Amino acid sequence: MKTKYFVSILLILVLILFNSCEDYLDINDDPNNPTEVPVSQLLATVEVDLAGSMGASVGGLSGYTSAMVHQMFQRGNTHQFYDLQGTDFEVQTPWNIMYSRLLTDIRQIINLGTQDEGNEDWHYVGISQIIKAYTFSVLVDIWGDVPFSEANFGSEVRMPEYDNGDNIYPQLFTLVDEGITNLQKTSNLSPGADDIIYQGNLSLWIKFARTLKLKMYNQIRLVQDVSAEINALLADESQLIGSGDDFEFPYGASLAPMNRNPAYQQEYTPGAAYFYINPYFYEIMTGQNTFFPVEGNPYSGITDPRVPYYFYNQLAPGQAAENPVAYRNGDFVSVYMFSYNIDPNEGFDQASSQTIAGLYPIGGRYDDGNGGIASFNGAGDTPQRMLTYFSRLYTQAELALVGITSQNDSLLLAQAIQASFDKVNEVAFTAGAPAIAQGDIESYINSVMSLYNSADNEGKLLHIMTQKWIASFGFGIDAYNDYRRTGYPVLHDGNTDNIDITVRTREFPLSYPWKTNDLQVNENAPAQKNITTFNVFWDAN
Amino acid sequence: MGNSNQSAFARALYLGRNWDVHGQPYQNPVNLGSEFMVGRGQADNPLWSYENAGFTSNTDRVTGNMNLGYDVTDWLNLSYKIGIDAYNDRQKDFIRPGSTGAQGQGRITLYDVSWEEIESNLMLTFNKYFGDWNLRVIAGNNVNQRTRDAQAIQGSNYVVFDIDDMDNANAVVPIGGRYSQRRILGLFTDISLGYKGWAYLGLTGRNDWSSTLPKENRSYFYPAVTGTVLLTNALNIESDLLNLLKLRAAWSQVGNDTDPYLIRPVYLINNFYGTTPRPTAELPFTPTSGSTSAGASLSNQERDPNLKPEQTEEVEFGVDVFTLNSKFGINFTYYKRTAKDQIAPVSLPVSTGFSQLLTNFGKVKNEGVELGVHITPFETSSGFRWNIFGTFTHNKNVVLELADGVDEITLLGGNVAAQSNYFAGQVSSVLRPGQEYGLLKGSVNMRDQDGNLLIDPSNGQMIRDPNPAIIGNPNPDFTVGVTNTFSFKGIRLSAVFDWKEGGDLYSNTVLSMLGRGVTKFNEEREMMKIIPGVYGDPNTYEPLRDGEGNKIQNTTMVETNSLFFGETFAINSANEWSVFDATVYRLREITLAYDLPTSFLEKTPFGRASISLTGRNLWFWAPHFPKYTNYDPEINQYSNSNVQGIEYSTTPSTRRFTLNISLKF
Repeated sequence: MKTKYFVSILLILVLILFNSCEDYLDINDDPNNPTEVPVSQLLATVEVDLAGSMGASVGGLSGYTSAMVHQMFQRGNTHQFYDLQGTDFEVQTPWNIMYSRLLTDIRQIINLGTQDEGNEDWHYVGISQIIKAYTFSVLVDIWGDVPFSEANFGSEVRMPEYDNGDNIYPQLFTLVDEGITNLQKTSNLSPGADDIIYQGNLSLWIKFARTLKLKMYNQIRLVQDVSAEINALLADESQLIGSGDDFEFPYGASLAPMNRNPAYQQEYTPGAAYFYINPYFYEIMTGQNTFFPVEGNPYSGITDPRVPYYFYNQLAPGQAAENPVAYRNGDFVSVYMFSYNIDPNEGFDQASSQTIAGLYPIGGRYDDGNGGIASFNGAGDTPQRMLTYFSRLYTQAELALVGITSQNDSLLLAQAIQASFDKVNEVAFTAGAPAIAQGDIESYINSVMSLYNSADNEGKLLHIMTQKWIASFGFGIDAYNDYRRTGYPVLHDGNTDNIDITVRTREFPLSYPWKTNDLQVNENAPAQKNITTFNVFWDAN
Repeated sequence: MGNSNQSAFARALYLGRNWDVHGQPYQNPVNLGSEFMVGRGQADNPLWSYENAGFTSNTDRVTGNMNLGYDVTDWLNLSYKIGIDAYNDRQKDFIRPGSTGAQGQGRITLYDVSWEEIESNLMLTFNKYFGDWNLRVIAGNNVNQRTRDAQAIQGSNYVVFDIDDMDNANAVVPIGGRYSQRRILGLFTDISLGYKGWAYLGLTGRNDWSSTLPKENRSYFYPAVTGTVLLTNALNIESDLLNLLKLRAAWSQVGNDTDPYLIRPVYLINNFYGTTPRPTAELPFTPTSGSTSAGASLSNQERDPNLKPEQTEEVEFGVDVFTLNSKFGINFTYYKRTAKDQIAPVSLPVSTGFSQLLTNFGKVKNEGVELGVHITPFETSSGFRWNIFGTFTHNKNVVLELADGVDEITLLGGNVAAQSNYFAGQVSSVLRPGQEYGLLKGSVNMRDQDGNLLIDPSNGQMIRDPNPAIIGNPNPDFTVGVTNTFSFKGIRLSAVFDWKEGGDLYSNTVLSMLGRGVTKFNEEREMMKIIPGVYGDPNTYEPLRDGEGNKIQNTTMVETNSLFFGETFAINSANEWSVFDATVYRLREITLAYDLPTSFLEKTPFGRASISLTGRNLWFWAPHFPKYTNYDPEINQYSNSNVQGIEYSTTPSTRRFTLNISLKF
């Protein structure tokens, strides 16, 4: 009996072992994570990652680039004297998001969307090509030489070569054109709400693509004759981004999952604000002259009506700050750039007293003048701007001024400033904040235009670029590019200013350092660059 | 715990020693949030955290076994054993509103982890004597299945301040379920042959089939041979001079698989980048005026579809000698282990589209000796005995070659944290062919050709080198352990002393203590110091020259405060200054024990009774760490087992006393 029982168990086991052994082991497919997904889900992630990597949070490119162009910066951080390292979180993070997520997922969309011949998802492919071209244009603008031709092939190419920026840019124009062509084809699937930026409106994508080309041609205008291409693009301005067509990512209201503007989430966490507003930026906008003699501020004596939309003072009128302050101007509290480890007051925590970015740049709080500690008490969902109608007009003003087009630069600048204010009012309207009265806008425009019209060409360029710089607040990438291309706006120099607690020993970084770990694990990568001498190919200065 | 600023412990080490934390209010009377003198955004008051943040774990465990055995004859036995080991662990992690963590909104996370392992063994055992020979043959089959199923949800934004329940959260999201199942089938044999009780030869062979490897590589065979000769028995030596002489030799191979689902890339649903501060929105995404979109993204880990099993080959020789009436004895072992096709995630440049690749990365050798010495220097007929047991171990872990001929790979660990977390350090663990395993690589300061530090003339601090360098070797040179035992009539006193020589450690704890200025080191904080070096140009990294072309000695003073905060020697400084030689001497344990005489126990139901008092970790000295940090390098345990020598604010080691009463029936 016992033996029989045992033998039957043994037989069953032997059967299991030798008959179903192979099936028994075929369980290595993860049941919770798919190996195939629809292109629509990939596009949603791509757009979220695009906005984040470009954004104004500490891990987005607009954070550090805004610091480089003296709009805002961190206390106690070496970037305030132009020291950028390839190990900095702020340098690595956008690079990581772009290559390991954004461009990887774009590659999947293009592969998936074209694998079924005769049944392609051309609209997804087209949008992806345009985003890819935009992303690489930013990578080149910020880092100069980057992996392009060998990038994103996974372990097939474990050590991608770094391509020269001037070899990449021409291919990006081709890529944009291919994207436009593909958007005009018949497509199997077409995007809708999964296209968070334009909600599947393909004609807006085409307008963005053409405006992107305009921006990129302007960016390389010093090293290449681009007048034919630019005049062709401007032949029909209705095909470019117009008012209300801005390329921007709309944020949401949800805390979990966190759908808010990440920069808002960061700055309006109680007591956790990262960025101080650069007092230099504040003084330019309020017409003051602490930093330089009177002629240093081009808008001396002119107060910009956008100030309460740009900056939020946590202190109520006359309220004492929590610690000794380095810079206080009314209720505006900040520290000086270039004063790290020099000014003892630079080191004090002012998290509940400092002025922080306001409604317009990151969806923060409109400053009604009453103060109050930041505690998620702003709008939160203000879009991340990337390419706007107003920036297009500033670009056209610049092109007209330097003679590449024959348009009226003065008219374009006035239109651009008006469009900049309209954008602020659009954000204010959505957030329920008061609008800037058109009369105030016009009086500001008139003050600026009278200065503009009496300036020489160099002075005019200064005004165009300074106005564009002011309008760009919240999206630092273009301002950093513009500064390196034109030399404007004039930036604060810790060595020549009136302030004895600011010292600048480093030169302005002409590009970002490469991510250190990427150089370490890639034998085909160049040696780390010297960022004070390594300029991007379009930087002829 | 960890290094977040919300746990009660995190900041406790770095608080000013003269602060009256207990005498200050720690809770805001209006919103009940944390109040702390170090500044709102910096850290929670540890007293507040103790009451208003916490972690609980509730585990239920079930194990069961069934054994069947049948003696076919007196020399042949068939047995079968099946066992199950299962547990369920429900964990709760919460922070109430008003913390610097969880955006001050309150957060509760529930984890539900279940684990189950089923193991089945079928064995046929043959055991028979043939004259002086004994032959034992085992043939068997082994089946093993491990299943892990975990879910986690997170609720944000508390409604009521002190209810730590998911229903008390305004928004609830899933934060990552994991399921995995792994199966292994094995067939094995174990043959041992003995001769007259003094010579043994063992042969084993095993073939495994693992579900985690690609089909064509899932089967792997690994054999072993062992031999032992008791020379004292073989040569009939019965002498007080030589009590035991035993020779051992072994050769073996061991195969190893990997974890489930690691051979093809997958998409992750609603996955988003990084940790706080998060640069992107999370998914699913709903714009203010629009509908919800789910998102998918290809995983950051590139997979190797041709993954092979790991194979480790080991040879070992040993000798055991006891002499002088067993008052002196030695166990000596030499071994050499070569592991090829080692599996680990290695760093990829993210320009490949992935941050890591799970692959067979290379070949690694471990070679070493282990020596044990037993001495009984003193023994009396009255029963007093002094025993010394000493050990010496030395291991050398060298990378022999790396796959695809690359010159260096970075193991994941510190580096990954650095990529996704703003506050983590930047030290990584790298492998280079021909060099010791897991060298520490990190940031360093710029030096001129003569090795002088370059000093930034604007502030007297150093200049960061844009290229990282090797800053340490975490492998210790050797370890020594000595146990002294004195026993007399049921009383036993023993002391264990350890010595670990060498091995570098990057310590974030020491860095923080110096940077926060909480050791006697920083007492003279008003003093000015000058960092020895020459002035350098931070743009060109060249030394500055005076009119005659000579380098200029640094004369710019730095406050003691900045000496440990900035481009100097602790917080915000290059990693090289936080690497220390982790040599440590330690009195690991003293035990005093007393066995009650049996005569005492005659009238009790107990057969044996003993009482012992043990003190652990009573004293240590790590001579190469800054004097006043009182730092115990043994707390170094980065959670990734591949990475050693990197410590990010781990809980300090404890000194423990235990009183043990043991009663046996």
